[in-house]
Amino acid sequence: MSHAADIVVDRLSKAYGAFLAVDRISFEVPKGTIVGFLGPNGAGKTTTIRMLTCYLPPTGGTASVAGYDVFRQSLDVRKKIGYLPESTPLYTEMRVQEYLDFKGKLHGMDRSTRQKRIAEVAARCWITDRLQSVIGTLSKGYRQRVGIADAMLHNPPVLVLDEPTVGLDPSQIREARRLISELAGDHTVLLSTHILQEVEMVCKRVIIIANGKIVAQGTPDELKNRLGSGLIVEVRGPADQVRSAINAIPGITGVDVLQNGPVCRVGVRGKNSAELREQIAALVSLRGWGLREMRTEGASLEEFFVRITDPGSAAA
Amino acid sequence: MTIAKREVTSLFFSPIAYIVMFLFLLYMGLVFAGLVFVPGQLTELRRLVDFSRFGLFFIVPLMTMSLFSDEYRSGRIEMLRTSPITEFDLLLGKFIGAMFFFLILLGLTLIHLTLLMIFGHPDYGQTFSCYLGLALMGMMFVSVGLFYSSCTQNQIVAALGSLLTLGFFTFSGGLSELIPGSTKIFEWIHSAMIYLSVGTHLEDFSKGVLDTSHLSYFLGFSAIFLFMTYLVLESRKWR
Ligand SMILES: Nc1ncnc2c1ncn2[C@@H]1O[C@H](COP(=O)(O)OP(=O)(O)OP(=O)(O)O)[C@@H](O)[C@H]1O
Ligand SMILES: [Mg+2]
Repeated sequence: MSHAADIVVDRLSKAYGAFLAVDRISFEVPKGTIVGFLGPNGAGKTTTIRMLTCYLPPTGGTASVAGYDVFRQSLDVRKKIGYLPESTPLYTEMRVQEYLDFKGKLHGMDRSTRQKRIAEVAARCWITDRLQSVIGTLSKGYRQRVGIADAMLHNPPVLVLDEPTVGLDPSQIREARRLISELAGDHTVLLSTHILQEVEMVCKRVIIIANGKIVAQGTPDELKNRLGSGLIVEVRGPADQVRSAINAIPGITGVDVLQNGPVCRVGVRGKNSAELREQIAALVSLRGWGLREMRTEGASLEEFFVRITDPGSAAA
Repeated sequence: MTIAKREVTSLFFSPIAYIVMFLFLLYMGLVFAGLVFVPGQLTELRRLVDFSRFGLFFIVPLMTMSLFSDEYRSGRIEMLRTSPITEFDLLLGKFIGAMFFFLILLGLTLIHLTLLMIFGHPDYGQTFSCYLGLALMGMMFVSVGLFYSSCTQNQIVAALGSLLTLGFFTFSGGLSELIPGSTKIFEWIHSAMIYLSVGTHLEDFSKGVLDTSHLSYFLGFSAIFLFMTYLVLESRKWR
């Protein structure tokens, strides 16, 4: 049993027939942290999460949650996990209160605990005024909130949320992210999402998965640094010549022409140091081109994501 | 138990439940009226039991078709499966929920029975054993329905499967007459079909005779189908 990590995944695989949806992935989620699980559509996020929540048996490898093996100690794992499934399946004919009460009973909570917890999670998910509504009449966003409330109901140490902010309106997305951020410390959260800002805002660490394999993991800053930050240079001069001249400076890994014309703009990739910027400036004035603008542009996680998950371009 | 309770409450919210109830009451009402106008037949509880049997053969599949199928189709099975309850809890909950509804349905025919008591003088012991027989039969029917519902996410397929199976159990006694009783093997099939027929086993109950062999028939088949349902639930994990 590991005390440092609440979710331990070791060479976990899942094959649907001949199709390998998840291919020997390994990662850990330390206690009390929020880890983002990022990947394009069909990457295998939901499949991985379903194995962690004991819904699907792995075809290879092992995983444990809160120290319990997902396969052999499935009931213990299910007690420790709060799970928001991707499609938030609910009983549409029930009232929100009834539904949460039902789930509370499934978790073996007694009457007074249920009442207390329902009031708590309803307040945290802003559904207190909808407790008596029939679920089928709720909008998508409200159902999503009921799903989040449901996941938190039994105050589980580990939360697994599959795209929790889908269907919420912008202000609710912000609230939901704040809510999730507040969970850090007491709770371990694995958060699956496509939304990069979400990861940057709430997650300590990011795991990026594509085609069933982990392609990168680290803190958002680490991942951004791996890209290197870019430099945008605007110069009055012929684009080709500017590009090749700058490219010749040692320490530059690539130059892209962003805008052609009498005044051209190029994106410069490489280690962005003050020294490098001075060299570029010197070079430009030496050649008699006019330096119009030079600014640093921090690489976005989005750029990293696109680069790393797109099979067409080489991995960064 | 929680599952059972939810199942019962949700049944009362679903239109299917009311349709089922309405159809059954309508059917029983017609049967009853028919019997009332045939003098001398009224006190024949056996007739009433026979007709209930045919009615339930149609009604139970409608009642049970959605029990698991709907959970699969809606994806709620994922929520149930990831809750800290075992497959056994789930099955038991669904079974108890469906049985409860069935017993309510059966209980509603007490209205007819009351009329019967006013007009005739049926034997109480016999009446009790009739109801016991029907309840046991219901248990077997519900188990069959549960089994088919656990096999598919399509409610119609589930209903058809249970209809066919229950049809066999309901009519095999009659069908057995069609088998030419010339050779040994045919005779064997003949008696097997008579044994499998629900009617064979219900008859003694409706006469007011309690026999453990009949009891074990109903309990046995219920257990078999419930166990098969359990196996299906377990095996679905592996897909
Ligand atoms: N039950 C299944 N049978 C066969 N293939 C499946 C099944 N479920 C998922 N897959 C396949 O496995 C792959 C991974 O699916 P998964 O749902 O895990 O992706 P995801 O990362 O959650 O995608 P999204 O971002 O769209 O939610 C997909 O190619 C999908 O088609
Ligand atoms: Mg998914």
